Amino acid sequence: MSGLSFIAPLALLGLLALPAIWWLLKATPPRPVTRVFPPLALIVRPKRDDETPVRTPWWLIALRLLIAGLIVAAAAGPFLHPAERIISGEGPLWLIIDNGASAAPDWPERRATAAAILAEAGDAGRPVLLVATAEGPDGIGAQTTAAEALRRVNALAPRAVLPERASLLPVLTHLAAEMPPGEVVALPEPGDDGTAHDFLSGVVRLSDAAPQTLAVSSRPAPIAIDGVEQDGAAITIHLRRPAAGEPAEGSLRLLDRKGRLLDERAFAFTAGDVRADARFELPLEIRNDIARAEVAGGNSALGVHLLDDRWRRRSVAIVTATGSEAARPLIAPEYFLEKALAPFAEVIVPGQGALSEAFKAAVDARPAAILVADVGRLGDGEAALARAFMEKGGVLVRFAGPRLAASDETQVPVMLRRGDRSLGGSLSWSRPQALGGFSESGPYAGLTVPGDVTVSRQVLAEPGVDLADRTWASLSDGTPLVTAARVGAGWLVLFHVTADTRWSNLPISGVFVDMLRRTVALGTASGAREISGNAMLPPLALLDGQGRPAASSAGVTGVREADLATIRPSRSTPPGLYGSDDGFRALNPLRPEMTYAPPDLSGLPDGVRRTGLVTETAVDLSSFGFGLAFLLLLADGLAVTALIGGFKQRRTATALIIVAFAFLVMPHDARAADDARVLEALSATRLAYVETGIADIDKTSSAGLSTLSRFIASHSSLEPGEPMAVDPEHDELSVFPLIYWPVDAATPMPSAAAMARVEAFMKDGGTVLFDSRDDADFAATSPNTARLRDMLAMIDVPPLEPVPTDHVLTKAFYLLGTFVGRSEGSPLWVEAGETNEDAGEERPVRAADGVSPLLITGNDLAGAWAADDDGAFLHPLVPGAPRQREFAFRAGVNIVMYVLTGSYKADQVHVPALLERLGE
Amino acid sequence: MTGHEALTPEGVATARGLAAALPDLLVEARRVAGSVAAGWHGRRRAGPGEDFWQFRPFLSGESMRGIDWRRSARDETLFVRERERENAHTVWLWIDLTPSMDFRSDLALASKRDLALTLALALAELLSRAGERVGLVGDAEPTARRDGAEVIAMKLARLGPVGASRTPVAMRRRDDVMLISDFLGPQAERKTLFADLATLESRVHLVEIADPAEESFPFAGRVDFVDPENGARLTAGRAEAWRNDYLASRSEHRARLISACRPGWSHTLARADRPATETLITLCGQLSAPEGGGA
Repeated sequence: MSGLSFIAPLALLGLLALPAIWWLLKATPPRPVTRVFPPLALIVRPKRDDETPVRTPWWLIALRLLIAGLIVAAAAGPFLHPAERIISGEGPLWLIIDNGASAAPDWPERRATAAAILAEAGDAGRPVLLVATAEGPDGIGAQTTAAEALRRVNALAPRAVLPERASLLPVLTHLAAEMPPGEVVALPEPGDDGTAHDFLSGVVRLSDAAPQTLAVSSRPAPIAIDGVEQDGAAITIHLRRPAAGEPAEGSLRLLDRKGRLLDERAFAFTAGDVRADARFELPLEIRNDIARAEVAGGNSALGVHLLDDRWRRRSVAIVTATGSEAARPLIAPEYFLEKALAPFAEVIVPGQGALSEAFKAAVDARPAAILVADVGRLGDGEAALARAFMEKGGVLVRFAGPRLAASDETQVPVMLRRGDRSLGGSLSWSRPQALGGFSESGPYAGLTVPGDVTVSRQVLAEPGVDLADRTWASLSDGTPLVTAARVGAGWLVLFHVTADTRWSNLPISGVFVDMLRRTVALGTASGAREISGNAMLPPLALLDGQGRPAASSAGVTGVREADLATIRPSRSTPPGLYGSDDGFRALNPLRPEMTYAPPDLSGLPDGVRRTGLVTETAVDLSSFGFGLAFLLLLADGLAVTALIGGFKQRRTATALIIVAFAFLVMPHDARAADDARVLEALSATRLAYVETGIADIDKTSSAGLSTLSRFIASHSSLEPGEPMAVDPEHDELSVFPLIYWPVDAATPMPSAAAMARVEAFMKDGGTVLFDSRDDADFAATSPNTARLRDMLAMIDVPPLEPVPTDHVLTKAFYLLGTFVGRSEGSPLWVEAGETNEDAGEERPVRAADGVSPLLITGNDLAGAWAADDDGAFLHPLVPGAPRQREFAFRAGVNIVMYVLTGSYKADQVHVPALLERLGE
Repeated sequence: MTGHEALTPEGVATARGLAAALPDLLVEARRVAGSVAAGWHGRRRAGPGEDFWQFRPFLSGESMRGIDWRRSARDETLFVRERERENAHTVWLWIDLTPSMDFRSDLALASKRDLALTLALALAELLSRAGERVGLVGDAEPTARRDGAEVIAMKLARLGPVGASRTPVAMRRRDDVMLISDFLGPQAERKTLFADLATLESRVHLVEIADPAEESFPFAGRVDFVDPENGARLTAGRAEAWRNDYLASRSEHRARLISACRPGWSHTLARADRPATETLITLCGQLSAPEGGGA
């Protein structure tokens, strides 16, 4: 296992050719020097003309033999393995792998370690029992061969929960009774919920006589989020790490539902501390958009905390008395309220029906708050509704007015005097009162008191013992301006003035917006759809071990809403969102009361061997060999040039310098060639692809686009020309409608200037189709998508979303649901349209010419299209579903049509309506 | 190839190169001639010839055939009409401008062509200054102008290279002919030319231009030789081993050339690694030397 090994050892037979090469090199004369010699006719060819083989110096031959040897050795695929043997015993090998969430960050190393162990076991022909602890008792299979176990290891993925080891031990005990283990190797993960010690010591007892090995990663356990807390002003995110140790720092990111970054803050663990907090002070409107908090680069589900729709943007309903205001919309109370609410809340105006209907509609909309402007007495039905609404945490805000002043309304926080008082009127001795101050105990505490807010009329509260407690704001003479009372979990708030400017200029003051903002923020039951406590919530979006969205897998059951607060995330109830799009609840990987500690390995017997993971994977030496051979080849060329006296001739040196300069200044001289290129590009509508410099990818891109062009020509009236390769660093891009860009992390990063050109291309109406070709969702982390994100970070990218079902792309030519390529796992991302945040409403048809400037996929579209000249496809498809190739082509046709025709096919959504109108 | 034949790109290029080089070479020729002219005088003295030179009083004892009666009748003295001594007459220049002349090795000071032109123009300068007539083989008339070098240069530029086979049309008997060449061209052509010149009883001066590389064969190792005339190639495995054979062949070639000379002809070797002045002095000496067979 250790040392040097070769992939293709037979290639080393090529070394046998070295003596022959040596003989050939010796016999080959050096290149002759050409000399002009006028008296050529006078030269007499001697009878015996000795050639000059002896003049090839021995070191040149040695150099060339070395080059040949290196090439042969590199072709054999040498690998350097630094690792030593891990297993030592005999008989059945028990390989116990922890695949919980804390194993996710270094899962590749763990898998490599397991593979190395299994390879050793396979060499020794030992049977293997593979135990993946997070898979539960079902995960313990029968004893198999090492190869079979390796297949299973490769299929294993870390789970988003910590392993449940308690249930494993009985099964293992039973198995050990049947066939005692010959050796046990365990790969414990760094985070533990307290069961590791019992389990491991149990296993050690089972395999008493056998050698036991623990392969422990040196990497610290992932940092976990165990809670998110919201107070009035900020969001605090609690972080935890299992072991107190060195100071650590990192950054925490808040994302919205579409994965857009809302904010990123650094956090730091002090030495010896296991907890840290990150505090985000965000405007309420942004705070409401938070859907996910994650530790940046954490790569573990433990570092992810999901927020359910209880956090979403608040909606506010406005109910006004119907009346003459409707005729003068610009001075109506709801106009002032809408303007004041617009910055932070979604305003619902439930129509101009009767008050009872409007009020019922407002409550049904489940807003955070209901604002009622100058309504006199609420009817009994409305009062009951309002009370129920407030009990559940809603805020009912009432504004005074002539009608309220004239009524004997009881649904107010304080007893009101009948009638209102007028200040500063022509018959009054007093002047309009200014805003006096805000109560320190109320939600308005800390707001700046503006000097220019005056009140000329108000309704007055009856004095009472609790009046001062219930007053949030008062005038300068001490009379209450805003009073509030707690009703159940909610609030009843009364502004003692109108919501328009008849009684005061408060509604046109800036402080009014802040007051409403804080008032509405009190509504806790807002936005969230009501979910019955007994309803079984189906899984909506689950997390995998890395904290990425995962498909719902077998064995996942729903969760009862009532249990959510107490249930422990498990294999059957993995962390994620449960419910439906209309209303969902989050189940997070870690809660504060759960244990998250390093595994206690202290009590294990001394006989247990400790080792590390195979952190360094085998080093592939072949590229090194080829590279060295190439360099030596260059050295050989220089040596030969020197030998024939090439450097003595100044002309040769000049030529070399000229060639070097030509390489440097070629872009400037290539203008004419550029023009020819542009002319050729313009001669037909043609697709283009970015050359990566990797021959394989470029060939696939070229062949793929070429085949797609032929497909388009045979299926539509568009006949594209042959695709062209472009280099965004130099070539003119604007002549192409669509540029296909296969992204590969192995290619050099494009320069900022090139990306600026790409940005200009996109701004000018061009479209770039990025393809990470690794079946990875753009939102997920893979080397290629990370590279793509780095590239896009340099330019101004619009918000993106996976293609919605009603997007023009889905109907530009064919009706398509998905956009598959060689693989079909990755969605196609496009520029997000103007969305209506309410998922319940149908999306508006996209605006006319909004062709997305960039499309992102990971499905390797060109790979699916690519065919050689005979029409044989170059690459197999990955699931290989029937008609997948056809659908890949259709996706390509749709993309090209979408890019070329814009969104005129958006009208397709109206087809049913049009047909209906035509009487079909 | 001559200037009268159809223009080919190569011919035009050669002519251009020649025309571009001529002004410089003219200056160089003047410089070279200036250093030589001091010791070389013209032959302006009375002697047998065809052109009038002067009248002089009749001396008793002279043949009366020499008396110019028309002049003597004008007064009482008898005058003898003397004719200019015609020993110099005309010098014809013939310069080999074939590609083989356009060669310069690292050891040479100038290319063979430049050396040939410098020598020719310097001779033209010297001769025209001395009142001789200078002509270019292939051209109709020799010139007697004082600025003979310019005239020759302009004619060269106009005529371009003149083939060795071209008959020297305007040549009179017993003229001097300067053949400046490396004499590497076809032997048959050369033989014809020599025979023609011998018929005219010309005094021929062969000036063999040689590059030092051609003289010493300083090559070693694997060398690919190219003939500039016809592009023929010859690859030597170890060139140093070929040297002796070549040198022998070369001296044999030279001996053949010299043996082709008629009596009174001269052969001068002009090496491109020696200053042109050296050769010019030799040539001047040969021009002013008493003529072996002629007048």
